[in-house]
Amino acid sequence: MFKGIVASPGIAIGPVMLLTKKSEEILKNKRTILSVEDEKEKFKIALEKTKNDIINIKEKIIYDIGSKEGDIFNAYLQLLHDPGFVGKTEQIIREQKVNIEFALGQVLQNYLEFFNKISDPYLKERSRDISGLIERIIKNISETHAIEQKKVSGKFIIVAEDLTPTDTAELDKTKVLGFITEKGTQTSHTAIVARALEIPAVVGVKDITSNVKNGDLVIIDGDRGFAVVNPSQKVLNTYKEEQKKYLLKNKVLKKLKKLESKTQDNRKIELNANIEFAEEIGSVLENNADGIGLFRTEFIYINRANLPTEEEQFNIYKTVVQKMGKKPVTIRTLDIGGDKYLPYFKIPPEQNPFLGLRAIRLSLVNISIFSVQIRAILRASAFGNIKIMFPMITVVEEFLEAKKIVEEIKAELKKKKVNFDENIKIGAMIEVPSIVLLSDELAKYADFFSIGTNDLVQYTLAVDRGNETVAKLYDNLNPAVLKLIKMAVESAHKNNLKISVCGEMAADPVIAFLLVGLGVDELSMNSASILNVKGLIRNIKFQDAIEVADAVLKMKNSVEIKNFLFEKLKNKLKGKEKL
Amino acid sequence: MQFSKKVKVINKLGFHLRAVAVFVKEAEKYKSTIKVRNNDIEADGKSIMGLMTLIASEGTEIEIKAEGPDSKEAVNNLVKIVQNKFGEEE
Repeated sequence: MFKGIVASPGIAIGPVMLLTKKSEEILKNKRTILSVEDEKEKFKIALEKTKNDIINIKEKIIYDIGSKEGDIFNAYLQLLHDPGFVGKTEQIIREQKVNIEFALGQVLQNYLEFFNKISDPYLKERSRDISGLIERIIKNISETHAIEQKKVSGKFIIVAEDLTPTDTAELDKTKVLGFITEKGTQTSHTAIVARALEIPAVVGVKDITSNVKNGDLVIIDGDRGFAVVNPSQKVLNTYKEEQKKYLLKNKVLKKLKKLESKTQDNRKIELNANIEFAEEIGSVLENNADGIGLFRTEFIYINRANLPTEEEQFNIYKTVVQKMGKKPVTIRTLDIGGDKYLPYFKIPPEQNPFLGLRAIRLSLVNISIFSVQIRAILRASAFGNIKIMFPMITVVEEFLEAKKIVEEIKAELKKKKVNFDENIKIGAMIEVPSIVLLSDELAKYADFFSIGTNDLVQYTLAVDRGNETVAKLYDNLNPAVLKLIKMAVESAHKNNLKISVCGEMAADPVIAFLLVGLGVDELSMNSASILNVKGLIRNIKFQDAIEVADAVLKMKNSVEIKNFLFEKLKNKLKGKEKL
Repeated sequence: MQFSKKVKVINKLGFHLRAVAVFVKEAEKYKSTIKVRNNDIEADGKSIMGLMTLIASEGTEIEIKAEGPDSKEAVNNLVKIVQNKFGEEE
């Protein structure tokens, strides 16, 4: 049994599909093979693909820089049929009956050993040339594997070192039962995607990739953060039983679907959904969300070779808003930089990406990209209820600058007689402490606020949520964070604005109770959590929540706050929980 | 027929990947077997990986040996390639 961090609830049982690791680790992964011929065939296919890759890159380089720079690629092409390289690798496969990856690793190691003896700095530097080629071959071998895996019928559980947004975008989501990753925390990308897809996930499971192989039976216990590899029949039966109960509980929750999200003393709390892909609309409707509180548009940009055109974006936004009927759809403009990047749009390397050119900052220095998105959103606004939201506003001027661009595009569309919603609402994400302190001023210009708790916690406590060694400091209930939320709510209400919370915090019923008490008007979360939170809302009194929140704001640390909230909630719900 | 000649490596980067590739491309034109020696290490003149393990940096004297019907032509042309810095500028 392996212990990890709870990332997405539920129980999944199924065969492992191992996603490739870093090439240096792959090269050390020794496996005994059954058929030398099959292994050589795989090698041949990978070499052929690598050859095509290199020819393509070479042509591009020659076109971009000149033929001289393309020469190194001729050398790569020659290496792909070099007896000392291909022959040697095949020899190792044949003689030791090992997988290609390991054989390639041996060849590379022998070669690097020679290079380590060299004192000549120029020549030494060149040893990287070969490592680069081998990395490319490895990548093509894993793709060959991936193709084989695609042929595997049925569903599987993804096991990987880490999943990047690009990885998850490439997955066939209808076949994934759950995720287990070595890296990550509750708020990392894998966890968010898993919750959006309503599949169980455990992250931060040390060494799991070295302890499973493709096809192993594995259980994900998403509620407790366990992964069980090749369980005994007894354990398997217990989990099958739990899985049944879990599905039953879900069925009960579904009864809440048609009921309104109101406290017992009639305070309406809108429950919205966070989405990344248009495909998630099914789940949004299934859980009867009041709207979409956060449409993360970066996933339209990720996993492709070029920028999406205005037309492509327009079609996506239009589809989403039409499927939502009259319900509001809040579209957040492009939020890349930080841990998300686009392969075709390079940002110069930064020392501190999370403090660098990301989100609205990036849009404001790349106005042409930003304008395309705004035009697409505005055009789609003719088909439903769309709101625009800018991510990571740090100072009021940024908001004004972005808003001015929207106004300019509105004028341009009007001139061209293109239909759009002239009264489209424009709001700001509140996720940087500075803008909370300036929120009273910002509220004069914005139509609504939405607190992004993941980033607000990260920037308030100066802790990288993706870094396991400091993840403990990442604390949703830290009094500093709660005071900032309270402050933003007060500024919003003073200026007659609605304020929403759209981070993962909103999905936790205990915290949702507190957020309601702090005065938050709307909660936006992964659609799978909506009914669960609705169940809570319908069983509390707004007045009680306010009292609890007032008491919490006087507390010193999050442990005290957590215990107090649990205790209060338990008492409030005691004996009277109903639909 | 056997033939051999010694030549000094004078390009700045020595026998690096790109240079070696140029050498092998030429060597492959000949029927003769070709060997290159740097002190006590000898490598197949038609194998990139082999030649790279010679670690012939700038200033190293290497010996090019060929055995076969076109050995003399092969050695002479390969020596020329080394002397021309494999077509590199420095």
